[in-house]
Amino acid sequence: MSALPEGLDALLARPQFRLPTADKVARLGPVLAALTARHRAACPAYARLLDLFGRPPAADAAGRPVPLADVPLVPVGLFKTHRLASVPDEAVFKELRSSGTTGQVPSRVVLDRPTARLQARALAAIAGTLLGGRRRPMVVLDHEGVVRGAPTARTAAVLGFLPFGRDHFFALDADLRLRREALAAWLDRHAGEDLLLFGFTFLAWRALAEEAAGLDLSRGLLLHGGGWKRLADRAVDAPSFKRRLREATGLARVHDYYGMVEQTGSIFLEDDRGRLTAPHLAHVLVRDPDTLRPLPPGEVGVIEVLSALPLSYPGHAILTEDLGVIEAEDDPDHPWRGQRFRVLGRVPTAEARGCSDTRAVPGGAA
Amino acid sequence: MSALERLESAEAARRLLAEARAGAGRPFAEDRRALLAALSRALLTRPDTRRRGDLVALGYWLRPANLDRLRRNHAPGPGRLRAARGLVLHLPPANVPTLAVYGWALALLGGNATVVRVSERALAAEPALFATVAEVLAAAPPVLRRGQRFVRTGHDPAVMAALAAGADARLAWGGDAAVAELRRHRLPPHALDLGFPDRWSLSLLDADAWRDADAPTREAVVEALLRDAGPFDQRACASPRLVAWLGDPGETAEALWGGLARRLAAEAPVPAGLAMERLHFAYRAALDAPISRAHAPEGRVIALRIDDLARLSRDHPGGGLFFEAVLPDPEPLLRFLRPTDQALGWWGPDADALAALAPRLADAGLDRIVRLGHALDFDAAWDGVDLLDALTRAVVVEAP
Repeated sequence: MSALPEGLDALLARPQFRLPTADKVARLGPVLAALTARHRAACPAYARLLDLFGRPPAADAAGRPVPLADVPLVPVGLFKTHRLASVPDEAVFKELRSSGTTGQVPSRVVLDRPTARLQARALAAIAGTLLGGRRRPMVVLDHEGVVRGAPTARTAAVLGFLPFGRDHFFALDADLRLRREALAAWLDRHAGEDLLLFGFTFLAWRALAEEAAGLDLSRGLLLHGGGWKRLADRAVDAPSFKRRLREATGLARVHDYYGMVEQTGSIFLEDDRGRLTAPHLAHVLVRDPDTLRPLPPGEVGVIEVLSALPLSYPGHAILTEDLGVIEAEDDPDHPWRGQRFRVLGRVPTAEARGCSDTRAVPGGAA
Repeated sequence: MSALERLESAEAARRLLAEARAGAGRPFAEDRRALLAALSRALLTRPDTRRRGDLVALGYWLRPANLDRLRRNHAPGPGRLRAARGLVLHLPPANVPTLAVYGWALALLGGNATVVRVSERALAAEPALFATVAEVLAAAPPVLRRGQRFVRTGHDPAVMAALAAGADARLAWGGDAAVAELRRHRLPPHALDLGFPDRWSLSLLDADAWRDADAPTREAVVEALLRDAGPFDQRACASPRLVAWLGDPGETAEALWGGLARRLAAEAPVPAGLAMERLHFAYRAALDAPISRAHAPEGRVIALRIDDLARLSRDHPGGGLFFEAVLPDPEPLLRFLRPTDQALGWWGPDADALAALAPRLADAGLDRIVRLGHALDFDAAWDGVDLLDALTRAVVVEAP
């Protein structure tokens, strides 16, 4: 694949969360414009979308990149129904699949080696900003088979985070239940050391809040992601998640992240006050779902995520199916710069497909 | 609400049927017309209904002059009498609450006892409508009132089975799957079973007339299209999903979609999930269907120009998405239409041309050919069935 878009390297530097949002936007704009041009040239499906939906060009007449809100977006569902690739088949390194809850069609994300490398570098820059350079003994709240499994989002996340730790311990058995005795023994070996824990939100909850009670994880830092749906079903929100983990194990440092398989690597990480924060190489927009107009901070709408990483597929501007709200740009009282936002759950699916609905007996006429 | 009884068991359903059946009477009887006239008055004057377009339309449709017209149009010929079918089971769709009342009014006028199953969704969407019906029924003579029952049934299939087993006619409205599900409950052998399942509708515009039209005329056309496609999130069976131009509008097509987008900006937004589905659908269609251009002047309206009607699937999300076709002549449209298509809203000055085309459109499958802006108007003939004819028996009486 051709060279990286100019300016991308600088955005990948560590530490992240240092650039004021306006500066970041000024640097991210040209990179995203270059990605739009690259995918338009290399992905016929993407070019067709741009032609049909008549989005503005990547740069204005004076050569300035368009505002981030004008970068052509792709609805996330399109990755479930279509394979969108900007590289020839022989350049494909792997195809990621979203884990996809039962009955859902998984997304397919086509990665070439340069994109996969960028994802790893981005994750290192973002997570490294939080964790520092030292590799800590690491507890993976998953089954060790997950790293050999199909390339799902969960596998990719575990593999992506493994390099931040050492002496890895996979804490769950094949039934995804906690190996409590083995974990206790491993903790004994690492008594007095700072620990890293990583896992999907629901698995971390079940293992730590419900099955690890009484173990001492007070020197640990937990990174977790993957969404709150299954916990919302149990009426567990972020504050009660943190409270319960602290009560059960003494674990005090807990950071959620927001990310998706369509933009692996450029994750949005929770700061130490529980606010998701945009890194240098990504950006969030909140749009009115009906008109798609960008909404100002404080207004709830559909989240769009922009990422500087996707070279091999047109996924640099994705309209998610999550509702959210931008709470602030930067924060003068906090060392981390960057947009702060909250995710408020999924957009409720449209009830009744009109006449053809089978659930609610609609349709008919009039 | 006293008139919205809950039916919790098959036993209760059978009791209700026995009671209701005694309330059957004569078609167009005086007390029946008086009841509907009272409902018309209430809908047109109550503060919570008189400003609601669809409820006012229902109120007008129920006024005595319209009922008299219906009676004249259904006068039995020589040697014939009309009589009630008996007990009509009316299962209206959840997404168009007023249909519960239109269908019931025709069953009532036919002299029948009627059980109307009201869905929780319809009830939640139109509490004022059902409260008004309940109030008017409560003031009706007891015999009449006992024969007209609005019920909620919950999910017990035994209740629906018991209702079906005691009916002389059934009207089942809804999606294909919903109608099929309702039909699993057997009617008595003599009973009449009418299904009103999935249908597909469109608009047909005269492109030459549109090109020549002045601004007020174009505004009126936009308004009419919005009246047809706006309500029910464009997901009623009569909602147009395709706008076909007879002739080539050239660049003036933009004026239609731009006008519709501007006009829609003043309307309530569609639900977020539907807006997402509309967008995803449009992107999928762009990659999968022979779309030659898209008008997306604002997010709220997406129009996809399709070059080959033969390759248009009838999948459609609603919520402000239109297919658009430019037709040199009606032939491609006539080949496209099927018996499951329902309404065509026509705009154009040439009444003769439409009159000539109408029989061919009807033969191709359409049940309603109306002026643009009137696709959603209720008519006693629906999906090709004259409901008043169907809900009465034609009785032969030979002179001695």
